[in-house]
Parts: sequence; C-alpha cells; structure tokens
Amino acid sequence: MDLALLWTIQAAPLLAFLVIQLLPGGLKKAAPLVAVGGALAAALSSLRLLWLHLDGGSLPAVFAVNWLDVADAPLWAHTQIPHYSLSVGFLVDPLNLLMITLVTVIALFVHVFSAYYMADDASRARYFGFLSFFAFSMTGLVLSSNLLQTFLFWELVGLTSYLLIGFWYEKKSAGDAARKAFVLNRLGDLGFYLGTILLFILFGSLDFVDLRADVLRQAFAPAVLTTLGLLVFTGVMGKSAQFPFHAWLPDAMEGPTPVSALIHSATMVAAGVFLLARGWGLFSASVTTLQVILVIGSLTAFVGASLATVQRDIKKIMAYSTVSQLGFMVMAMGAGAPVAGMFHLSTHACFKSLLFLTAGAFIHHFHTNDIWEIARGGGKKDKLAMAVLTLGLLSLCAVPPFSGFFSKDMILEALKEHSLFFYGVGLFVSFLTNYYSFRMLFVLLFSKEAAGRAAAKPHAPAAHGHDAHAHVAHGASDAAHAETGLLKFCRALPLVSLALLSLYVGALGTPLFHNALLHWLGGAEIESHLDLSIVAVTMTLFAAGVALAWFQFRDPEAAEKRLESSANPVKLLLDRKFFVDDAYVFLVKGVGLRLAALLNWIDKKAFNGILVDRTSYAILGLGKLGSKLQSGQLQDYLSLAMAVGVLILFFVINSGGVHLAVGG
Amino acid sequence: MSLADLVFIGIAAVTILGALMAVSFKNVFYNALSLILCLFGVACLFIYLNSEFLAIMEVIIYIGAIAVAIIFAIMLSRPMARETEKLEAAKISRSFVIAAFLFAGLCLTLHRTVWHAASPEGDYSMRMIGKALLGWGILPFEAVSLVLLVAIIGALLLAAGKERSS
Amino acid sequence: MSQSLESYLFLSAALFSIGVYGLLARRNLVAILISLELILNSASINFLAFNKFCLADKAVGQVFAVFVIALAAAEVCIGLSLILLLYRKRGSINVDEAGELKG
Repeated sequence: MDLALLWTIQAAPLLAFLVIQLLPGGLKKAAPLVAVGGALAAALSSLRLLWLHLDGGSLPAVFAVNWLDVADAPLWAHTQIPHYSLSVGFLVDPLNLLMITLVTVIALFVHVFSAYYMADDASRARYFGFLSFFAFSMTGLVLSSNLLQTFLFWELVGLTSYLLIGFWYEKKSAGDAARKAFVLNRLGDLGFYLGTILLFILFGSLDFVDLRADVLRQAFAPAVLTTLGLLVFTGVMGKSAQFPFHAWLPDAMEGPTPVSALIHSATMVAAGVFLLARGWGLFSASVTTLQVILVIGSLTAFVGASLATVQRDIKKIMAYSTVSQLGFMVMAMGAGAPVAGMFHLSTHACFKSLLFLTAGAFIHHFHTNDIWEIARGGGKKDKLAMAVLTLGLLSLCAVPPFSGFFSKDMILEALKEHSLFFYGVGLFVSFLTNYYSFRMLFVLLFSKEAAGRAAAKPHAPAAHGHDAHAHVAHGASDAAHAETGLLKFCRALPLVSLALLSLYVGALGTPLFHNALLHWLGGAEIESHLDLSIVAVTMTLFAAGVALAWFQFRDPEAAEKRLESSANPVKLLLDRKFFVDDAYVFLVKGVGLRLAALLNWIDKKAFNGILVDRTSYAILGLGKLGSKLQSGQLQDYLSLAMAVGVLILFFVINSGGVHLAVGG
Repeated sequence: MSLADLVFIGIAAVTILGALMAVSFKNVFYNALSLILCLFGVACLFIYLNSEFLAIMEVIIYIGAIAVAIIFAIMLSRPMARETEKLEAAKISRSFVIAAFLFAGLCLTLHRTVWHAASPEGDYSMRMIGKALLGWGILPFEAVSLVLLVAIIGALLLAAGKERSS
Repeated sequence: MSQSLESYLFLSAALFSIGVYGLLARRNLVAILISLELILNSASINFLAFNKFCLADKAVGQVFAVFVIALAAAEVCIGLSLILLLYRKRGSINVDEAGELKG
C-alpha cells in the first residue's frame, strides 16, 4: 500500500509531464487539465500516506533496492560500514511525510492558480509540462532514501528552476536571470557533490538512516566532519539562496509568478533547509558546522530583510522576504533546533506561496509589478486579494494567532537559548520584517486611486514589467478581463485554501492542538512553551515596525517623492544590494576573466605550443622516419625481418637456450 | 683421417664453393651453372647420409629439371644471359653482416645444443620410403601432389594468358 | 668426420647463410630464386642428417626430403613464370624496380 502510494506520488507528475509533451497540437489546450490531474493524484496520495502513518507507527520505513556494490571491504580504515554499496529507493519518516504533503498540496494549488494566471499565454503547454516535471523532481528529492539520489533530483529541480525562470526566454532579463540562478546553483552544488563523494569514500554509505551523529562522531575526527558538513552545506547555500549565493533568488522573479510561489518560495528553495534536517546527523555531528550555519543564516536573514525594505517591485519584496525567512530557518538549524526550522518551513511555505499568489493576482490584473502602480490602479478594491494578502503579511510578521507567530517564536526561543547575539539579530530581522510588510500594505491601502489607467503608465525605474510580458495580447486598454466562472474559481480556490491552510498549519504547532506537528517531527519531548518575555519583545517590535511604516508611508505619494530625492549612504548600500552583485561582477570580470586570459595564454604557449604541437611534430618526424622503412623494396623488408630474426636467435641463445631434444 | 673423410671434405668444399659462386657471380647464367655444381655436391652428401634414393632424386629433379628450367628461363629472356648486375655496396655489406651474424648464431646453437643420438644403422630402403609415403604420410603426400598440380596449372595460366592478350 | 651430425649441420648452416646473403644482396630475380634453392637444400641436408643420426625410423627424414624437393619444384615452376611475366611487362627482372609497395 505504502509503496503504491509512493509510486503514485512520484510517477503521477512525471506521467503528466510526458502526456503534455506528447499531446498533439490541437489538444495542447488540455495541458492545464493534465497537469492539475497529475498534481491532484500526487496530493491525494501523499495525504492518504500521511493519514495512514499519522500515529507515527512503523516509521521510518525504507523501500530501497541495492543498486551498485562498490566494494566488499572498507576503503577507509575507520569506517563502520563493511560493505560499500549504493541504493535507490524511498524513505518515509515524519520529516519526509510533512514535506511531501506540503510540496504536493501547495503544488496542486499553484497548478490550479496557474490555470488562471497563464490562461492567455500561447506556450502554456510548455509551462505546464515544466511545472509537472518540477513536481516530479521535487517529490523525488523529498522521498529519496540516500544522499546521492537526493543530489540527482536536486540537480533536476535546479534544471526546472532554470527552465521556468527563463520561461519567457525571448526577454533578455529572463534569460540572464535563469543563467545567473543556474550558475550560482552550480557553484553550490559543486560543494554538495564533492561532499557526497567524500562522504561515500570515507564512510561507505549515503543512506540517511545510516547518517547518525553518534556513529559519525565515532568514525571521524571533528575536522573531517566539519569539512564534510560544510561541503554539503554549500549545496544548501546555493539552493536555499544563503548569503552570498542569495543574489539569484530576487532575479529569479523573472519567471511567472505561480512559479515564484511554488519553486522560489515554498518548495525548491526550502529544499536546502529540508536537506539540513534530512542530513541532520551529518551536520549536527560537528559543532563548528552548526556555528557556520548559524552565522550564514543570520547574515542571510539580515541582508534579505534589509533589502526588502527598499524594493518597489511587489515580487522583489517577497523574494527578499523569502531570502530573509530562509535565513531564519537556517539560523534555527544552526542553533540546533531542526524541528523549529522545519516548523517555520511549513508555515512559511503556506503563507509565502499565498503571498506570491496574491501578488500574482495583482500583477495579472494590473500588468505591473510596482506597488505604487498597483495601488494607483486600484489594488485595494480587490477585496479577496487584499484580505488574503493581509493575512499572509500578518503571518509573516509573526502576529498571534497567525501561523508565522508560532514557528518564529520557536526559532527565537532556540536562538535565545543558544546565544544572545544571534537572538538580537533575530529580533532585529523581525523588526525589519514588520517594517517592510506594513510598508507594502500601507502603500497599497492608502494610495489614492488614479483617475484613469493612463496614469498607471509604468514609469522608468519601475518598468520591470516582469509579468506584463505575458499579457501583450491584452493591450494596454482597461478592457475588463473576460474572466469566465471557471477562471475565477481557479483564482479564488488556491487563495482561500492556502489562507486556511496557513492558519491550520500554524495551529498544529500550538498547545491547542497538543503540539501535534512538533511531536510528530521531533518526538514527545519537544514542547512549545510560550515564553512570555519573547512574546512581549516581539510584540513591542511589531508595534515599533508598524509605527515606523505608518509614520513614513501613511501618505504613499509623498513617500515616493521623498524616496526618489533622498540620498544617503544607507540607501546607496541598500540600492546596490550590499554590493554583492558588484562583487560578483568584479570577481567575474576583474579576477575571473584575467585568470582566464592568463590560463588561455599558458594553454596556448605551454600546453598547445610546447606539449601538443611539439608532440605532434615529434610523432610526425617518427612517422617520416618509419615511412622510410616502407621503401617498397622487397629486400629491405626481408633484411629487417632477418635482422630481427637473428636478434631473437641470439637472445634465445643467451638466455640459456632451448634444450633441443631432437630424436631420443 | 680416413679416405671417406677426405672425400667428404672435398665434397663439402665443392658444395660451399658452388654455393658461394651461385650467389656471387654477377652474371646470372654463371650463377645457374654454379648452382648445378652445388647441387651435385649436395647429392653426394646425400649418399654419405645413406639416402641413395634422394641423391638420385636430387640429381634428376634439381639438376635435371629445376636448374635446367632456370637456364631455360634465362635463355628465353635474351638480354638476361649477357647482362651483368650492378651491385650496391650498401646492400652487399648489409646482407653480409646479417648473413654472418646468422651463421654465427647458428654455429653457436649447434655448439650449445646437446643432441640425442640414435644408431645410424637402419633400413634406408626405397621400400620403406614408399610404405611411409602411402602409410602415415599419405595426407601430406596428397597435399603435395595437389600443390604441384595447382602450380603447373598456375604456371601455364600465367605464361599463356599473357601471350593471348598480347 | 663424415660420421658426425655436427659437420652436416655446420655445412647446412653455411649453405643457409649463403642463401640468405644471396636473397638479400642480389637484384636479379633469377639469382634470388637460385638463393632460395640453396636455402631449401640446406633444409634437405638437415632432414637427412637428423634422419641418419637422431631417428630410429629411417624413412621419416627421407619422406620429408622428398616433400621438400617436390615443393621446390612447384616453387620454381611458379617463380619462373612470374619472373617471365614481369620481364615481359617491364623489360627488366631487377627486384628493386618493382617498387609498388613503397609507402
């Protein structure tokens, strides 16, 4: 039963992808239906699987087959595993089940919303194909039973991410963003791959069930463990957009908004955090690794949140917010609280995909990404979107009783126990989160609606026009969308469902529901006791953040003018994104290209010039020498043969001779 | 040293001399004549080896057929009989060195090898040869006869086919 | 001396080496053929010498000598016709002028 369900989860999206690819031209319209069908099958199967294992019995269960026997004997002296072998298969445990349910359910809603969002796009069959393929890769990643298999699917989700970011590839910025994401991810994955290989050579097994901290600590010195953990963590940094690899995530917003919701906020980027929890034994085996993780996480959280405060583009705000929240999760991991991290991952997945879909609803309607433009276009009249946006933002700001509150509270508690400094960083990031969330909300709420759509002409700095591209067919006229009932349903269902889901998931981690989620993930000893001092501090910060936002943005038009005119070092720093992109440009252009030129010179002169050319000349000369032997003169050949024969004769005589037994 | 040995040395000297002349004269006609001398010496050696039958065969086939055929061929191609060959010093010296080393190697092998001797007494008669040829040697015998047949037909074809076309 | 194996083998080795020398040194194809005959004869001498001094069955070596003579006849037969063909075609029977194998 389990195996059948697992196969359904794994194969349904792949099947949908294949069917979409094979659809004849006339039937391409059915692509959304097929994709939604695949996602629905996967979601239902994973819910069923969750239901079957809700009591936590018979977990973890491994369904794996031996794939490759590498060695019979240990390759490394200290290893514990006698047989080196690689396996493929499924692993089911609470962590997996939570993640797979999140992934498939959110994927289902995003598929449904995409049906609305992409209704006018000519190449939506391609879009839905990619989306299904992403669902396949992501479920594969989550269900993998070992690190190598995870890595394979990890690369596949990277590929789909690349394909979907560059979905509107005819736009140069989209292609560039896709490449940037791909390259930065590759950098991280290199470390991941090296770590995987090293771990296999040293340890002998990549199965998650074997990677236990106590076993690893027995087998290796701390330095080795730190190296292994940090190498694999490099992959996490790439995928989960940790500083300094975070630069790709905001650019990834070039992709269609539902893609941003699914891949670049809820699931794929969270895969890094998931991997941290999945390979927790490996990471927690070394204190140094955890310390580095904590530092990187806090840096990311701070950088993301501070950059989110100056963005005009609604998707960029959310992208930086995602970076910051991912940093938060990684911080939780680094502070030694994987359950808190996974809990925040779950709540964040729900409310951030909700926020993105809301953003998508705005963008689809107003053809602009700029929050001021949306506001002028009359964004606040969209009651449903505004309601769920507010709900999502309150969750993000960790206001009780919304879901973000419980998870963030847990993380802050863990940080406080770990070190006061990082607790302070966490609090400051929370404050920034409150500030940018309410900045966006206030701009949307308090802007005066412009008289006509003409006023909503995108002005230069904000003319990212990301998703506007998709709607060229509409023209700029304010002709109302001819939204059919079905499309309206496709728009409303995911928003409402995700809103309810995000409330519910948060509540699962509260004493109200007996900490069901936490117990399930971390065993009975985990409690979320509400630390009133933390709540008091966060509430104060919330009030401060809202007040600051209110003070600055209750009159959005004035604030906009002020923003454009003001100039100070902090603003410059934030506008230039902490110079991270500039650093990359310098690294690539200044260092990389010069290094490449040097290597090119060495290659041309030393390798090509001396080694390759000389070798070829030498061989050519040898060949000419050899061709002289081929004179065509019978007697030359014969002489050679005879001479060699004589040599052999002497050799035989000298080496003792054969004792010819003639006669006898 | 017995008379037989003296005669043997003489025959050996004639054989070697014939062989040397057969390869060293520049005129191919002299070569052929020297070959006859050499072959005659070899036939005499065969008698020393108790193989009178083969000595006769040597004279009949080698001298009577092969050497004569060679002389025929030389005479048939008219200028060949008068032509003297221009020898290249490099080629000569190269061949000489190789041959000398080969000879040295062979002598060394002869010297080093221990031969298992058997009594020279036995039945050398033609009867035994005939029995052997048609007994255990029937298969190589037939094969050789086939080769001879093919060789004759091939020689005819090579020689005649050309004339027809020309 | 006439009753020792070594003297015959020595003689055949000399004959063989002379044959090889002629084979490598001469340009005239007929002379090469003659050298080949010397080599074959040295083989025959070997067969008969071993037959006399090393074998119990005195027919074996003689039978092989017969085969050698027969094959020599066949070889000369073909060789001469080839030489004649070459002579007709080129007007020369020098082996170094037949250089089509040159690489």
